[in-house]
Amino acid sequence: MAADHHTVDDGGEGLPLPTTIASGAVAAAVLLPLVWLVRTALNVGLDGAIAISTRPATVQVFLNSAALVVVVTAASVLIGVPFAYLTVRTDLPFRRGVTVAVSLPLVIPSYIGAFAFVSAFGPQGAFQRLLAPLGVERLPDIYGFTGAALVITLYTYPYVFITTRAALKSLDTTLIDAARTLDHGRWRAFRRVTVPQIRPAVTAGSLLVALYTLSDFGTPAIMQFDAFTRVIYVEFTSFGRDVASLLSLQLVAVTLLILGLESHVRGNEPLHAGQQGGRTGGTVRLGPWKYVAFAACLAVAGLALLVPLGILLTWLARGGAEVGNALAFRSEYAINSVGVAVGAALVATVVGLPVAYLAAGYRSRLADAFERATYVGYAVPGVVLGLALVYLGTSYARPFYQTVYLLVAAYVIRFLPQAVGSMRASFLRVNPALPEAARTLGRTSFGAFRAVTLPLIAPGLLGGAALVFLTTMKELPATLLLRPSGFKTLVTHIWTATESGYYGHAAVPALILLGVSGLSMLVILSQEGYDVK
Amino acid sequence: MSNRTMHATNGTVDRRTDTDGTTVLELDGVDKSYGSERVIEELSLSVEEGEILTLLGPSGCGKTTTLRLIAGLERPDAGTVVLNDATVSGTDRFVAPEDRGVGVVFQEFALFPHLTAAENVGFGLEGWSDEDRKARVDELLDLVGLEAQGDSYPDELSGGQQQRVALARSLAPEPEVLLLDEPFSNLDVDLRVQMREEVRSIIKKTGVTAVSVTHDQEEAMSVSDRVAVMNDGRIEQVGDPEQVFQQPESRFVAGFLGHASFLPGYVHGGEVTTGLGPIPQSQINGLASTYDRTRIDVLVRPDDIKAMPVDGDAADGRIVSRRYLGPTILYEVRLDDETSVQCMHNHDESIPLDTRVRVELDSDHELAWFPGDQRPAEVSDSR
Amino acid sequence: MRDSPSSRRRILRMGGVAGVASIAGCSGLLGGSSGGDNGGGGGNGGGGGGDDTVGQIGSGRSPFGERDLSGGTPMSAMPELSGELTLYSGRGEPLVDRLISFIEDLYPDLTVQPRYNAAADLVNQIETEGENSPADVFFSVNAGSLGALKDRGRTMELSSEVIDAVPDQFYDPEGMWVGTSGRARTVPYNTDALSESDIPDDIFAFPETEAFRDAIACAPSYSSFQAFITAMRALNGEEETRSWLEGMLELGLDANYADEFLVSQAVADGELRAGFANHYYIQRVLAGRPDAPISTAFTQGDAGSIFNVAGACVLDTASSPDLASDFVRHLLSAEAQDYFARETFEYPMVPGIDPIGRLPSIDELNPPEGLDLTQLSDLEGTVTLLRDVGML
Repeated sequence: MAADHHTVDDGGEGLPLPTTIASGAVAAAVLLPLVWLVRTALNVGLDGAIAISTRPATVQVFLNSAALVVVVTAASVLIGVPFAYLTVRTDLPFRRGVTVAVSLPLVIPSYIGAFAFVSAFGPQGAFQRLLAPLGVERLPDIYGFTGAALVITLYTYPYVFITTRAALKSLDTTLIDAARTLDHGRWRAFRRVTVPQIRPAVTAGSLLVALYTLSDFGTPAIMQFDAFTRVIYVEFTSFGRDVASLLSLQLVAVTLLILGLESHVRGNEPLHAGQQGGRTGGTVRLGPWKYVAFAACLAVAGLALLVPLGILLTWLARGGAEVGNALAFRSEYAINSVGVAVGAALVATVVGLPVAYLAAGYRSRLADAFERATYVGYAVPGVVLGLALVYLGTSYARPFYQTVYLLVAAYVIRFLPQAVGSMRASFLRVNPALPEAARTLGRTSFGAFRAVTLPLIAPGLLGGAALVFLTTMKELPATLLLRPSGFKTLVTHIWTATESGYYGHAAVPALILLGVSGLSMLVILSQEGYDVK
Repeated sequence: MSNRTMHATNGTVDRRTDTDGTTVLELDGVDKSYGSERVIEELSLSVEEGEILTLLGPSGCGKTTTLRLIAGLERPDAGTVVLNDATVSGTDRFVAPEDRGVGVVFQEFALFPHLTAAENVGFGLEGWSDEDRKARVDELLDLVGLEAQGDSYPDELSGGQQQRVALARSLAPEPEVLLLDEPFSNLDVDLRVQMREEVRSIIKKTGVTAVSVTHDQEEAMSVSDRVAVMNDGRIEQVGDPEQVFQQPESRFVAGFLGHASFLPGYVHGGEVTTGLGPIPQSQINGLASTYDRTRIDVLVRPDDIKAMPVDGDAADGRIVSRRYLGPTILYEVRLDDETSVQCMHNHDESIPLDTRVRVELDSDHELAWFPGDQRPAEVSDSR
Repeated sequence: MRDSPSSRRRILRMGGVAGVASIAGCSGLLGGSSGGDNGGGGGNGGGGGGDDTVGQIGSGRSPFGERDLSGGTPMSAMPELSGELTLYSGRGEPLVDRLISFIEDLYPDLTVQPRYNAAADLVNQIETEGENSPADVFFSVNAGSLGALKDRGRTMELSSEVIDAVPDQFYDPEGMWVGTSGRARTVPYNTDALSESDIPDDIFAFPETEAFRDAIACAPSYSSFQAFITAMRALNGEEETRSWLEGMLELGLDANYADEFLVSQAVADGELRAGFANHYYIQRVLAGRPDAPISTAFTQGDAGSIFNVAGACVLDTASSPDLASDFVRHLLSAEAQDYFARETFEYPMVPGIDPIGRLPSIDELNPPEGLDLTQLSDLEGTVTLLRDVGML
């Protein structure tokens, strides 16, 4: 009884009511920060708004950001997809290890990455000093577009890598074999069969990359690249909150454009693909090329990982000057970081569940709109979202202002789409006949969900939660604005130390951050695919 | 039932067993649409206790939807579904699938991949004591011959074993009615034949009332007590397999069940004149005298006629195509009056293409017929 | 200082990170601050351990020897503090933490809830919080953020006891904020190569000073250097600033230094004859190497001698304005002023409390008149100009 996924073509009639209400409530909640943005932006006035939006500088940075998003997204696909293919379908040496190494750059906050790259490859950075005896006085400029694109790509391509891997793993390879028996070459088979199957996953990963690039504050700032966020930042630092809000709204508009584009590109998803477990035989033999591929993987991962690690280790070796208690590291910081990150991961999973369920199970505009709404918070720069929640917190939720509750809410709003995306993909892989079978065996719809669907989507749940955990661990700007007074986490401690120039004190928390996040990356990798036993 | 019913049919051999005539399941005037597409139209059907009834029809005819309506996985737009005298789907009443006591064997078996075979079978036994549940699971695994596979996960089982687990799982809670959705379509051809027999015997052993769905007429014939042929959201004909096969009430049924050729003829003076020569009226099933001096189409199955290579005037057609069907060959003969008929021969009687042949009727049973004025523009032939 | 001067220098050179720190300081590492409160950055190791001199924060030691509290008003002569106070601090925790602890320890009934973030972010936060803001006092790294809050009507007039403690030019004319410590733009020069009289007292004479040819340097990415150029643009206009920069480049100005500590080190080493730096970098070099041939020169009344302040204000939402105002007053106490001088080599604001090392007293400085310090935090136009002339 191969139930088709439910098609609901009107305004949502036919959607399950409680789930729809829950899903709508979540969407409304994550869009609340826009209220503040609009309110503040309105202060600018129409004439001012038009003048600001059309001034050459705005247009220029808009184009800069667009170029950055396009280049970073394209580069991430060009790195992430081949690497995913190599680690899933070929006889690449040390596949498991390579997979971990290639995924790990995601745990490094891109601001630390950018910082490390400037330290290492700046005109007179560590690398130049290394080459100085050879007469190299100045390295080519790493600042600007090249540096920003390089750094953001290196630290975000794992989004594409991870989502593509999961899709390739659940891909039924008998389809590829079938295509090849029809006289398609391997490349043609890949293009005709594999590509359409993994396209939704690739676009989902690309979406995260594109939106991250669009909203990243730190990297363009350090790389001195005039991205849209830098202009917003300049407005904020010159106390032009209203204009900054207006520009942020424009950023949201661009986000909606990208979301629409992604909906269009991802096309029809293979519903409940791989329900029979997905046969993953037929490893592609690379011959001597496998060493080239191996070297390529290691080169990218090495560049992304070793540069910041090297810089952190020089900080560590230098040690910290004694500057009193403020910079002494306490294990409490790590506990706080892990605590709020676990909280955010749990809440994001719970509130994301109805959204993902509805979006996966029903072809409905309303369900899609709810799901898309969760991406808005992700695309708003952290400082903007933080201020929006400062407003909402002080105006409507005073008892929760500057408590961990509002802080966790901020994380959830920022990182919810990562959980929703992962869960949605899991729901799509569950054959809808399974919960129906449970219904006919006497379970209520909730009972069927608990006994059958939930165990089957558990890997996606865990993977999504781990992704939220990992990004929450790295989050800084909203944390600084919303944390309870005196509440310190690993990143706020790193910030305190680096902001005052005590880099030696930043090394330990930064290394702990990478270690803990690295562990959650292992969780993500262990949960991919469809191993449910 | 069908508006194309032209003549009364008499029951032939009744294969029904264990039937005491009590109606277990009744659908009355059921309608179902998806958006603007009407999938089920005023469908009525009753199923009696202990019988195996098969809904047979081409894909998209609404048979699976009918099954889902019975299971409670879909709500009808109109009409009622009555199970054991209780309305389970009606205008103001809808009983959830879990409260209907209906077991379902899904097309792809829908075994829970995270549970072992035994856990799958025991899934519907919630609320049973551990002891009872274990006993029941063992009993059913035994019944389907999988005593040793209880601890295996679905992906460790062969297709046939998965099928048996699915059957055992749906039977475990002792459902009133068992529904089977294309139960054999996921199996290899060899296994399919074997499993049909097995499934039929298991169902009969438990005595459960079963409604099955298939597009495979051979499967319908071999498994069912009665067959309901569906087309376009409606039931065209219900009856036991032989009756439906031999006395189809519509051209659709005739064409869907096996190969069918329609031989145009003219009724006159106690015989029907056709391209094969005259056929005595007595060999045509229930041809009423009112059809004297009218044109009719006589249904001939490939095994009803024989083609023989001959020369000269004795021939009345020529071979235009041939198809190997394993032990037999199916020939298409273009008669001199441009009618095409199909005939089946053993593979050792090979006739080359383009050979002039003489076609003769070679049947010891009565032939079905349809009035000529109801001839559709294009006769459907599913084969 | 525990590090020997040579080891400190080697490390800074080796890592190159301190240089990047200042880049990040101006452009906002971690998406944060604009000002960069790394005045005393790089880890000045003074102050740890040792006997507590009563009344003095920390050991009372400094790299320039022990010093006693002299001049100013001690905390004991100020109103007692009690109650709960929320402090939004744009100055870094490593700097502020010990000062706050000292004050808290002094008054058993006082609890201070500090909240640290970049100054600009805190201004935005306070503005967004509106009348529900929990903040009582805002402690800022620069005058610009204080001015921004004043402009938005979020500040409260300070009592005369507070503002009277500092010279006129270091508090807001309407008494809405007060400077608590300061930093001066200076010209470090090598005393073996030049004498004080070789340094023009007019910044616009620099491009014509042949003594500097190919031996003067700056750190163009550092926020304080950019504030200096911003001041020049405000005082002398865009064109004059551009031609000054171009003239300096023709003179061979080396604009490749990552921060002003490195500039000062190079001056002390004789690699440079002079440079541009905040006053405290010279003192940090001297703290490590008391005999280094480096000294401080000042220009007179122009952008080269601007004096920027860190300061504090009381917010209109302060739950107890008196407590808040009294707390700010404590930042001007003899103990606090002495602390700023010793910990970050900043200029104390209160006359009678001397800066550390061989520096003229605050009364002897001659910063330009008619310059609104609050403008100096707007660096964007300056960055564009520095790029245009090829320094960034």
